[in-house]
Amino acid sequence: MEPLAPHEKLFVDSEIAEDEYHGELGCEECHGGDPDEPDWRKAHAGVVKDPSYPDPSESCGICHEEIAEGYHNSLHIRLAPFELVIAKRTNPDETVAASVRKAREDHCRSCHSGCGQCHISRPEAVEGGLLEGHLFQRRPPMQLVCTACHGSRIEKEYFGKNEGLKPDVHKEKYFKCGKCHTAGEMHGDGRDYANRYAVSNGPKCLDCHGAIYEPKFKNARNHWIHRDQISCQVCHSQRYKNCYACHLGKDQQGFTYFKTQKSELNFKIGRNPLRTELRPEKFVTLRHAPVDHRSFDVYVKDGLSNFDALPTWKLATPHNIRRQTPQNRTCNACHGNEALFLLQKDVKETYREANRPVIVTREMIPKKRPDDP
Amino acid sequence: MKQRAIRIAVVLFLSAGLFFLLLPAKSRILSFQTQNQCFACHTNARMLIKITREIAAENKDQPSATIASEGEG
Repeated sequence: MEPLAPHEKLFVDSEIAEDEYHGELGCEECHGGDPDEPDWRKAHAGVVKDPSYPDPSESCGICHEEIAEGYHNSLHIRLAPFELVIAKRTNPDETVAASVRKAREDHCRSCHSGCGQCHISRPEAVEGGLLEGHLFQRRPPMQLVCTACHGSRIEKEYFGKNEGLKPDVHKEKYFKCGKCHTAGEMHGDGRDYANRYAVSNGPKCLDCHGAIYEPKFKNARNHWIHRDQISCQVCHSQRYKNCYACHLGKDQQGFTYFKTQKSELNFKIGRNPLRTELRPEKFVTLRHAPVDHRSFDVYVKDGLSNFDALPTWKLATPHNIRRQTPQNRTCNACHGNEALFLLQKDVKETYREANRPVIVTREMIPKKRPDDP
Repeated sequence: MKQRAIRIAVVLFLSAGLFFLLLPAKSRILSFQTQNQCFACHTNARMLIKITREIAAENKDQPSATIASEGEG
C-alpha cells in the first residue's frame, strides 16, 4: 500500500469539531502538548502520537471502559502467539533466551495495533497516517487497516490477487472483514488466548452455514460424512501462500529488516496440530510459517535450539473460499490424490522432525472410491 | 395584558432554545480555529505542507526506513 505524503498523514478534517462526543475534547486532552503555543516546535513538547497504545485507560478507555478492559489480552495488542511459539522453540539457556526475546521485541512487536491504529489512523507498521482526517471510524476501513497489515496472505487470497486464483466468494458478496471478525473478537474478551483459533467468539463457518447438515440441503450427506474429519477449508479453499526461512537483521542505520527465502502458492492437507473442541477435525489445511532454525542468528547463535518443539506447517484457514474447488469436484479429486497431502517428501529434511505431528503417511490418505469417476 | 406578556416570554424562551440547539457547527469550528493552535495548524493543508517540508529538509540525510527487507512479510 502506498504510504501517504507527510502532510496527508497529519491533516485533520475540521468536521471533527462537529463530532458530538470526540469533538468536545481538546486535542491536548488525549495527545498532550500545548494548544496555546503558536510555535509548533514548542507546542509539540510532550505530545503523544498514539495515546491509545500501550495503555488506553487515560484516553479511549475513559469512555469506552468495557472495551478497554479486554484490551491488554487482545491478540492485536498482546501478540501472544508470537511470544508463546517463539518461547517454545527458544534455547533454555537464559542468556541466549534473553537475546531471542530482544529480537522478538525489536522485530515482532512493531506489528501491533491499538484502538487508534484501527479507528483513527492506518497502522504504524505501514507508516501510519490519519484516516479521514482524524474522523473516528466506527468500522475500520478494510483495505487501509486490516489488509494493510494482513496483506501478503489474506489480502491477496481474499481479493483474488494471486495469479490464476479467484477471490473469496465472500468478497464477491461484498463482505468486509468485520462481517465475520466481530468487534468483540478484535477487542478481546479479557481472556489470554494462545492463538486466534482458540478465541471463543472468533468466526465459525457454521455461524452462517448451519444448514449444511439439514436433510434438505443439497450436499448434506457429504457434509455429514466429513463432519469433524476435515476442516471446511480442506474442501473449499484454493491454493494459498506459503513462505519459508525468514531471517532477521538490522541495517547500518539500525533499522530492522527481514528476508524471506521464498514464497510459493500451494495447498497442503495435514494432521490438525491444534485439535480442540472448537477445532475437532483430524485433517486441516496447513500453511508454512516462515520460521527457520537460524531466523534469529544475527542476534544470537543457536537461539532456537528447541526448533523441533513445534511444526513449521501450521493450522491455516485460507481466505479464498469457493463453493467449487479443484479438490471437491469429485470424490477422487481428493481421495487417493497424494499431491494434496503433506507427505514426508514435501518437507525439507531439516524440518522433518518438527513436522512429524502434522505429516500425513500414505496409509492415512483416503483410498480412491471405485464408484467415483 | 398579562397573558400577552407570558406569550411573548414563552416565544422568546423557545426562540433562544432553538438558537442554541441549531447553533451552527461552523461557529464551533471557527472558535476552535481561533483558540486552539493544534486545530488551526492541523486543519490547514498549506501550513502542514510547509512544516513537513521544513522537517524533511532538516532530516534529509537521515533515512526513515530500511530498504534491506526482501520477500513477503
